[in-house]
Amino acid sequence: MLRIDSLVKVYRDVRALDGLSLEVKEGQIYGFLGPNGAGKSTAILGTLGLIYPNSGRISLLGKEVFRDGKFSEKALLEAKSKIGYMPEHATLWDFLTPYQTLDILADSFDIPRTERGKRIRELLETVNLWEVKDKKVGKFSKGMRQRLLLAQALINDPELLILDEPMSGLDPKGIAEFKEVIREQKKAGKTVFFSSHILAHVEEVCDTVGVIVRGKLRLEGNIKQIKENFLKKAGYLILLETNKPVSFEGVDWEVERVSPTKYKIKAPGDIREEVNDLVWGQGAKILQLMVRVPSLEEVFLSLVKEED
Amino acid sequence: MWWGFKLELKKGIRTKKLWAVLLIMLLLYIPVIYLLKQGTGSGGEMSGEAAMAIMIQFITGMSMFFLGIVAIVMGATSVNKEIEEGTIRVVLSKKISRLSYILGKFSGQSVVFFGAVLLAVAVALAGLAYVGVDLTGNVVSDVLLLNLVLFMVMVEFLALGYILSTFLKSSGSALGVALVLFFIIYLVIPIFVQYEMYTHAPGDISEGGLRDLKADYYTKYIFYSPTAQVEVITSYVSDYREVKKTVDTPKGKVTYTKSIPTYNGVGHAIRTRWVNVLLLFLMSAAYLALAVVRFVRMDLR
Repeated sequence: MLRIDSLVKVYRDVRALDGLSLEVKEGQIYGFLGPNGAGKSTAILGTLGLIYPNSGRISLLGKEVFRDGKFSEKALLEAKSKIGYMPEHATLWDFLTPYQTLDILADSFDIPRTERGKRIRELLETVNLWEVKDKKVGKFSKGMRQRLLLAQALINDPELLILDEPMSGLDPKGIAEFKEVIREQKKAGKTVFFSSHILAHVEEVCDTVGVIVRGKLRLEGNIKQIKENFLKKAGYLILLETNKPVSFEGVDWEVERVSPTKYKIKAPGDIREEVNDLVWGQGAKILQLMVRVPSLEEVFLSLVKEED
Repeated sequence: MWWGFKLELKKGIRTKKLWAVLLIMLLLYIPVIYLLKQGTGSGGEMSGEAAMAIMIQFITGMSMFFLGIVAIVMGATSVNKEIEEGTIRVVLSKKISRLSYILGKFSGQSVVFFGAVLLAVAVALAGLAYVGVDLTGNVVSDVLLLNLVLFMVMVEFLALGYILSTFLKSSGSALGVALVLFFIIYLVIPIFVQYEMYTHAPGDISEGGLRDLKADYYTKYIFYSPTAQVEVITSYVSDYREVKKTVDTPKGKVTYTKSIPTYNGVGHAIRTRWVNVLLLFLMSAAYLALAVVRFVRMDLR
């Protein structure tokens, strides 16, 4: 459905995509995960011909649309007729109502007038905007605008839905509604490719996740594998108090002496038992113990470190 | 192309700043129409043709200044603003090519300006009727021709703005550059060219000779400025006939020379200065082509 091979995009001196390769199969819900600035949006924009990659290959719905630094306009337009895209940080025309917005966008797909009204109504009902169909978009809240953006992506009943950070800035109710729409797409046999920098956003709905860091796919697999990898990086933050120096020989923890009598220990994994042994053996006492779950960014960076 | 055209037409019609500027411009017609009425009325010396010639110069000056600024500013923020807002990514993710989109967008905005100029000209025509000028077929066709010439100016400014819009990422910066560029083209460069012209003009040059010399200088050195080209064209709308007049004064008879405008018409001016009309077309096409080439290759992020 979507195939990217060795895609490279360089913005002046920044290598935004560094040989990105990935494949999204038909019917898959693919979560494209990565920290901010990893290259997620660049990859999506490149896929849709909205930016020009320097090299690599892109195939959409079985047709090669980009090769040797050139897009095939015909193949790209043909593919776009079966693709829905929701961009990150976009506004639609403030002077139009949601109904007019979808109507004018439906025009570009030559959706017949007879079907159009029904389709627009269905979509506006799906994203809970039917009640405000005649209100100007300029008066909409951020959540309502996001829902309209989702509706416009579905206007042509796409086979492949590409969503760029669709849940950013949404409240929990909005996120739940979004996830529901994605699940419905899956039920209808559609393919969804969506990006996020928050693991929780993708874990409930995706069956496959790809992790991009610094323009390269570092990890790909099902959500269970990714999550295990993520939790492996969790650890503890422990504050020790002692009246004499403590030796940390033989352990691979991050230790900081914060005052003459206090130590701060950071370590991945469950180190409670080892700390306990150390404390009893050297006469120290635990002042504070916190489970420390690293941010996704830290996990991503550790992935890069491992690869390097 | 039709898709972008329709959307842009809807947007353009809703552009409040364009209509606000047009309204201010039309309000400025009132004192001019009043003065013309005084001049052509009982006791006034002005002929209908002279009133027409003055009105044409007036509409041209006002439209080029007021609508010209709006056109270059609208063009300068047309693409970059859409990139900033993200609407262009929504639109071009649909089954719409970049080329058809930008051409549709440009056409839509051009039609809006055609409407604005037409309105400005129609109000002027109404003003002329009020002044007492007979609205014959010739007068109406002249006014429509003037409308077309002014429309070409707007198209050229719009296209020039598109270049800025595709090369400058920030719409705020593009707006600033557009205003500076407008004043350079409209005001600064013509002053330098005129200075150069007067430096080389023979001392005994007639009014007509000076006009021809100015036309040559503007055609040769400011061919890229739409306002300069229109200034040349409209300067041929009327000729100035020198008439000797004698008046009785308490000290005896005094004879003086007066320049009386003789109206030739816009059609005559266009025929005489077809090179400048051609330049308006060619430069608009060149500016637009540059903007389009840039747009189809640019990253929309």
